[in-house]
Amino acid sequence: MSNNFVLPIGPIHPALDEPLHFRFQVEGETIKDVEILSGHAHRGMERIAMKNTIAQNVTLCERTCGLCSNTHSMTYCMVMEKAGDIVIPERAQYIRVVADELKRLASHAFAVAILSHLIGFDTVFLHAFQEREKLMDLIEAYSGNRMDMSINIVGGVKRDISDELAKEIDKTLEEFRPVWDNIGKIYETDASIICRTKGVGVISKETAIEYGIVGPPARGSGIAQDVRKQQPYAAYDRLNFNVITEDGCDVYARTWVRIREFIESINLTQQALREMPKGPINLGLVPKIPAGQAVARSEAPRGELFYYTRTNGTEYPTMLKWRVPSLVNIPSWVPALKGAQVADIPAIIASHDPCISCTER
Amino acid sequence: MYPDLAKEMSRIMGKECEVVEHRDNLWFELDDNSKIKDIAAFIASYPGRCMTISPTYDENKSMELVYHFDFYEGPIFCVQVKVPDKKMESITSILRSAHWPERELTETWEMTFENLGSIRWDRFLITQGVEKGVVYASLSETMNTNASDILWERIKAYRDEEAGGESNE
Repeated sequence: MSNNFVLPIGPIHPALDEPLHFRFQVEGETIKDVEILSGHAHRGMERIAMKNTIAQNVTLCERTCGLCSNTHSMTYCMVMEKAGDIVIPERAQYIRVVADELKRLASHAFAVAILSHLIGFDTVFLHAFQEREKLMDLIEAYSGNRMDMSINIVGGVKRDISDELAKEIDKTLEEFRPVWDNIGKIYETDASIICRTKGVGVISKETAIEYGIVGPPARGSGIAQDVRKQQPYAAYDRLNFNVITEDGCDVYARTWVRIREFIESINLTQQALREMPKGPINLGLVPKIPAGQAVARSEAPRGELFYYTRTNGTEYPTMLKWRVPSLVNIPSWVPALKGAQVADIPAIIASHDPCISCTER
Repeated sequence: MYPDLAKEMSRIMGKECEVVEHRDNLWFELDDNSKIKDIAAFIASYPGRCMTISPTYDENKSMELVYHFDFYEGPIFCVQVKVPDKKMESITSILRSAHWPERELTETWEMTFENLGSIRWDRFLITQGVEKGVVYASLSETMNTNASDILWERIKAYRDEEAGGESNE
């Protein structure tokens, strides 16, 4: 009897929370090849965006994804601000950094927790999720919502951070440091985590460049690519932080990048809160965007997020196109999965922290 | 070090070329579509990547593409090209990072990328139930109430027929 067979997984599968279909060509327990098919929930958002007004699209873009919702609306506003040669008030730039980093913290905590769950380490999962709840409380205290903060508008932000709230955010984040240090220590030393993640799902630096992957997966393969440093936006050019890279190229390295970035994000948020100047937070009414075209990008929790627009001087854009980090990262799963064991599939996929909601925008 | 793009484009095109800085990024208008593979080879050799390819229209509603390239440092390099016949040579064989963007445009904008190759499923991003080129059909369009009306009219007609032409209402 042949040992080779095809193993179909998805689009609905308990290990994968979003719809994606795989056909694994396996030999025993070893994956020899894989085909990936998406498209089970494509929403045609780019078409809708062309029927909406420029102001309405802020709401639409924010709904591309739950975990990086704020980065979507911010980058959309950035591309429109570029098309209109608009400079937003300095305080708004700092508030955008705080909001973006809070969402990054929540997203990274989620990614690390989910990976722990998938490799059977539910103690870390519960620990990380419990701490994430406190972050969600901070997000809710600031914006009134847990997921879609809905603070960005073309020309700035619409909700200020009071001194009292700034102190509360600063204090809560300070309390996170020892907790996250502890989670880091567990990841660094626990034998069961190491044996499930080290040397698993390897994407070499050369392969990462070939596929053009972005975000923590790229940084986990030794590529120091971070839009916040490469092409700073908002107030990132005035803040000190390090680009975290690891050269393990495996599940462990990608997760470790997120754990280390967590501390960097705490530093960034606290810095931004400290150095935030007083002043207006937006330009008032929605500014008129002249005819033209522009591109903008930002560092979403999952990697580089890119927006392109072409405007015609009316309130409706001629074209709006956005490219999400997961769309770039998913093709690189093929080399990561080839040669791996069937049992490692969930860990390899979770280490990329994919978002199918983004991919099928 | 960020490449001297004006020099590289002039070399590839065989004539003096201008790369313009526009709103923090660099833009180049490609007037010879056959040179896209040479540009891709230069990007790959640097090494760089294809971030994505944006579809757009000019003032006369003629289709254009904007290729967005990145060198892991500095600004985005945008190459704008006119494609009135919606045909372009694929660069996936040179820059693998262009694979999904090209496939996506094939499905959503009915672009033809020559030598892109095929995949076993034909579709990869949009389900086969949606016609190519009209894809930007949103969920509200594909699941509109009209479809339900047609379904119920058929059922009603069937029941009427069963009841000997008498309405059940």
